[in-house]
Amino acid sequence: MSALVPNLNELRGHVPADSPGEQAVLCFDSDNIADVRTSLRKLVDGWADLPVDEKDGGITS
Amino acid sequence: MKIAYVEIAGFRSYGAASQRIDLTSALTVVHADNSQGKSSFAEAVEFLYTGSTSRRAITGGSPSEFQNALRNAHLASTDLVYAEAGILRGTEMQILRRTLTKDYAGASECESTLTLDGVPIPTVADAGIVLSDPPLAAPILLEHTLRYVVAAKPGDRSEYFKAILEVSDLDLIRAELADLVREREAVPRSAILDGIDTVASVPQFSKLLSSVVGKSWKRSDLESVLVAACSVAVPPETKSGAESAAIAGERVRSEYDRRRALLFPIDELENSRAIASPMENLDLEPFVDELCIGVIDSVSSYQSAVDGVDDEMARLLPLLEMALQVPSVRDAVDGHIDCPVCATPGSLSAERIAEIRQQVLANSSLAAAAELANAALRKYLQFGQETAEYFSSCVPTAASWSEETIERVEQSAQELGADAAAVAIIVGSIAGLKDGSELGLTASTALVTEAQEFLSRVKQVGSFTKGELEGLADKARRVSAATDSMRAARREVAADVHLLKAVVASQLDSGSATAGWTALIDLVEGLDLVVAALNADRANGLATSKLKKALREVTAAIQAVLDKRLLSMGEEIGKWWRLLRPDELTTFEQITRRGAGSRFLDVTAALAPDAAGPGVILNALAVLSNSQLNALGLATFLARSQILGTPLIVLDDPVPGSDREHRATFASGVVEALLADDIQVIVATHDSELARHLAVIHQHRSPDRFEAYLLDPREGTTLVRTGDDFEKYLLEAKGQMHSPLRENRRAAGNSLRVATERLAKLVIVAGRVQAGDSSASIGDYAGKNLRDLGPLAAEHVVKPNEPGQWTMLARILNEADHDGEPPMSADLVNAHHTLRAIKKQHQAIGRKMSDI
Repeated sequence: MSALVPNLNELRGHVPADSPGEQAVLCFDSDNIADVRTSLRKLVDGWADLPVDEKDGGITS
Repeated sequence: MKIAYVEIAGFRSYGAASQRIDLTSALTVVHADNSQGKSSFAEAVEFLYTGSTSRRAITGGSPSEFQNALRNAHLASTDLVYAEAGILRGTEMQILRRTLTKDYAGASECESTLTLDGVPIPTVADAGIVLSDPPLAAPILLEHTLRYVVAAKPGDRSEYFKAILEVSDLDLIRAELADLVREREAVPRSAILDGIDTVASVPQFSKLLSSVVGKSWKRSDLESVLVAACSVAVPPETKSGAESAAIAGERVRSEYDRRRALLFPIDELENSRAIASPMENLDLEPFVDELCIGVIDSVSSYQSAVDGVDDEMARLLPLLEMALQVPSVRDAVDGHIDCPVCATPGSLSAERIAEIRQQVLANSSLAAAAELANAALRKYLQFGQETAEYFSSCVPTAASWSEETIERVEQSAQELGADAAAVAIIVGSIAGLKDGSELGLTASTALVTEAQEFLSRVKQVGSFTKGELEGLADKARRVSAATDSMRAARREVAADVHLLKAVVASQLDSGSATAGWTALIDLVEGLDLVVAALNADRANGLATSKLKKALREVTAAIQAVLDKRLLSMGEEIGKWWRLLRPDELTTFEQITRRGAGSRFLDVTAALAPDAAGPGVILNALAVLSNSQLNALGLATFLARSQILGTPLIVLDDPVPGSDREHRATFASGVVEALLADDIQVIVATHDSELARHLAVIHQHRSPDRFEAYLLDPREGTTLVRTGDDFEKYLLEAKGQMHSPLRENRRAAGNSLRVATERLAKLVIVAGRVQAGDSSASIGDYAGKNLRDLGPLAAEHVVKPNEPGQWTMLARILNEADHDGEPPMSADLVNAHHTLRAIKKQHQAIGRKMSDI
């Protein structure tokens, strides 16, 4: 997976800045696929843990 | 980085004696007729690089057909199989060698060790050699790989290109994200949410509950909604402000039970306690067998222990055990001590204490046997108690219905669309359950009573007869049989009730006007869990949406990267195509993604009507001729080598025999372009014309040229430098020196004599060069024969026995030139070996022993 690094840089150039896609791509910055999976799950779990918006009863996205 | 030499031993057609070719030029041409070891040479280099053969991975057939495919079949078991290369970096030479340690066997892979200067390394990457991904990892074009790119299945072809473009990892990124999306979507929906949907589907609640799912909630807000739903179901008697969910839920439950019982008391036809009993699923027969054997064995053992001890002693056992723990008794060695039990002074001698200890020991085994018997009897007891409970629980409330109640229920059943007879049958069966339950209870109670009595008897160190034990076992078996019958009968009734329920369920809901009420009650009673489930669902839904968005963004980005790389690779393939097929109207066009995805790639060709006209774009596989597909395979391979920055490529028959008209374009355009890019090229070919073309066109580069011969499969392929007369004559001699025919041995002798003269000249010239005479040349000795050359060669000897060897060679081989008896085979073989040895020992001290 070490070959990911140059491709990741190139890939980042094609995803919108600060987008979910960019955050997901950054999770792959590891030589270990198990670490990648852990990072991805943490990222998505983090999205699920965003605070509840008290005003409209919905969760801010 | 340059490859200075390649050496092979024992690999496929190569024999135990190593064959080495020195690569002094950027271009090397190995020519051979078919089946002489030309492809084995290319595959040996592939093996050196990858430790395997791509032939096994990409040609048809099963892996097991490659059993022992790499090792020459004629080798002795101790012979080594290896491929080696000298890697030159500046002036420093490193030796890269791969040795086969286990050939392919069945479906198993082969195994090998790789070393760099004798130190093990995991892959050739550690020697600075870059490989692509399998199956075509090495920059070796073999006949079976030439058309891989066009013959492979679409998926494999895409993998091939992606591996070359080093974008396989991008697919991995996409796959990981897609897997995560699938993983999240596959998580089963919470049953709580299904419950909300059930309630919302009932018209009277839909307005309140249809938009509950999909939002996050505060507990108080959701409680208000559910209380409102409860009020719709059963309005409160008084409107005294806000009501709690618990109170509202309880009101709905009471009304629900009342209405349904009034209408049809179906729940009274079953007793749910029975279903939860451990007896319901117990495999009775083996269980009871084990129980009976356990009791009989353990109580019998206990009985034997009882028979072996004194009753009085058994009763005193606990007291004596404690007495023996008293320090003065425990540590007594000699003399008399006071008894710790009766306090009699000096009443215990050491001998007496030892005797008591022996008796306690014997009685301890009785205690252990008693414990085992107790444990077994307690299991009996437990079995009796659990079956008794089971028999009680199998009887539903309907067993005590009055005749009037039964009549009313039958009538209700008819009104709800069921058959009154079905109710009568169930009620009859329930009466049977009741009778069975009473009989079972009697048997269970008797078992419990007797087990308790046995336990008490063990406690009192009582005795048991064999008949008593068997009687107890019979009781357990009777209880087991009664349980089995009860279970079958209960299940039969349950099945009938299930059918009845299915018939009356919807009518019962609508008839009692309680549709959705149970689900509503569950929601109210589990309010906190419902709030948590709704909020988790909302949060997870948003996170999954965001993940899907990430997947869409990454997929688009991957396609953008892939398009850029494909364009670049397409240009590279196009460059090589134009060199191979400069004047053709049909041309390679591009590699493109198939459709909107990136899973499959298509190779396209342009068909132009004339040199100036625009081409029609079609799939290359469909429109290119056989010869053009070969050219496409070669162009793709060359483009790949260029992209990977390969310093050395090996091309095995790159121009098939049927493509003779394209020899020249390959030999000039393609090879020239590769050499211009500073790529070292080895071309192996059976085509002598192509070999000649290459030699002539690249004469200014002084290409290395070799011929491969396979004269004797046991000795393997020999690689001979073209123009190396010494080796050529040696080979000629080898084919004839064992012959019984005089003329053949004479011919062999003459070949060896000429080879000896050649070697002598080489030795003399190499010796002079080494001594500083740079003008020394083979031509200086034109016309000299062996008799003249021997003494001159002897002036440059490496080993002390060499002058004698030159004399011996002259004596044996001069005879071959006369009409008399030619040399014997043994002499010829000796001469042959001696010549090889002399050449080798001069090479070993760095003398150049090649005459081209």
